Amino acid sequence: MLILKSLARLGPMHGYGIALHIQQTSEDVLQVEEGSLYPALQRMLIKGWVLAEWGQSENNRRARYYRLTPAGREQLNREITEFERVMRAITRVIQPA
Amino acid sequence: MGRLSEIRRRLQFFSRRNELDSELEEEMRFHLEMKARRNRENGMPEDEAYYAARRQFGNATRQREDSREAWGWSAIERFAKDVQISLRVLRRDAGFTALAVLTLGLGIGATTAIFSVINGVLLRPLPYKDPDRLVAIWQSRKQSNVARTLTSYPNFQDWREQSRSFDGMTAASIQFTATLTEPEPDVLDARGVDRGFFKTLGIQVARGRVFLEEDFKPGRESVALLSWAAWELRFGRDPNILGRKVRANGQVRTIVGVLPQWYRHPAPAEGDKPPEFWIPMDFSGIKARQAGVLTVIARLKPEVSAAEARSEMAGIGRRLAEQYAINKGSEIEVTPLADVLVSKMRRPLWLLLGAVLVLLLCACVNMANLLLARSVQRQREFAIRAVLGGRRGLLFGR
Repeated sequence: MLILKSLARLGPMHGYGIALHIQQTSEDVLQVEEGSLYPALQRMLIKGWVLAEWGQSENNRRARYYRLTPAGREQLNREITEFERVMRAITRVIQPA
Repeated sequence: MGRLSEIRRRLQFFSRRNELDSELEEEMRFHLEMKARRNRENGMPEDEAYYAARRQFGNATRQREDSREAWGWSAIERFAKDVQISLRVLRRDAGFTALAVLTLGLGIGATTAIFSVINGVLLRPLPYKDPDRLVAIWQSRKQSNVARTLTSYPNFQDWREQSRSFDGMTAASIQFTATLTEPEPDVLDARGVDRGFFKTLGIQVARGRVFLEEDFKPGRESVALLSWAAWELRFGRDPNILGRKVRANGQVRTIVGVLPQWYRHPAPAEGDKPPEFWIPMDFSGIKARQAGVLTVIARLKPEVSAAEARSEMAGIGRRLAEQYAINKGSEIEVTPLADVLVSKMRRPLWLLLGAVLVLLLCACVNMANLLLARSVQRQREFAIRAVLGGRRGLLFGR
């Protein structure tokens, strides 16, 4: 979900950029194993939620850029809705009595 | 629709997997370098920067593997690889392989051989025409615990005349000995059969002809049939066998036919040998109703079942028991021929099958032991592979 959201916000981006974005936006709270991004991206590629193409990075190196597809956008919305539902449920449970 | 394009993508990924794999490698390398550069910019010393990046990245190799898994064909690839490596290992340890192959081979070979024998005997179709329509009819005395005795000619006649269930009923005599004096002294196991015998069974001869109606007329020149085995062994496969004369039991007979090699005599009694010599017999001379000398075979009419025939014959049996004192207490048994011919052999054959299965079991147990011994040997290999990060299932798959 975080990957999809990052792509939605950033536009086409390579793996490193996505990882960086997540880390910065979460203010270092979310420190993921950055490598796990890649299998996840592969799965999303297969499911058709993202597209990938090679391009030039800022410092003129070859990098693969990922982009959100309309299907991916739908999936993102689904995941966010579900997440918010869970969040509300948790919040209700831990509300001070 | 989405599923379909997903499958299409999976196929694409699979066909390009090596290419994609190197692309992934390049991608990850880029990521690491960018991270390392950032670390340096943040003030980390040169060599630390790179290692820090790698640590944060995680196990790159595993990520690559996971990515390949995401493409979804890794199970097949793994299997192929396992087979490849297993073959290599087996070849290296030739002794073990040889032993394993031998054990399994022996077990499987023996089982197969015995099985085909059993198959041939138990399940082989009888060599008659429409053999499941043939039944054997016996006399039995339930009270004296006498089952399946031969019957007499008068009874046979009555059975034939009074029953409606059969297309044909025929009889063969008990075994007797034909002593040949011409051309050479010899002793053959012989049977006498009535006119419809071969026709009812649906047996064709291999050479010559079966008995005809005229052979049964008194005073006619006597004829005889030979079995294939007799023709081969006793008469040396004489090509001119038809028309040869022999003197059997004092009577001159002409050989008019040779029965085929696969002939089996129906409903043999205990201790009977396969017949080698047949003569036409008109049993009407045997007038005694108590002379149990005939084996009776009958062919069921197409619309009649064995059970129906059985009950009809039971009724006839009761009538005959009332009419004739001799028949008192005896009943008629009707048994499908297939059951008769096989039942004697059945038990020893099942026993044999059991023995062979035990043999197979032993072979398997041996194999298991060998493998166990081997895996103890390979513990070191397993330990190393576990440390390198192999998952448990993959480890033992090999």
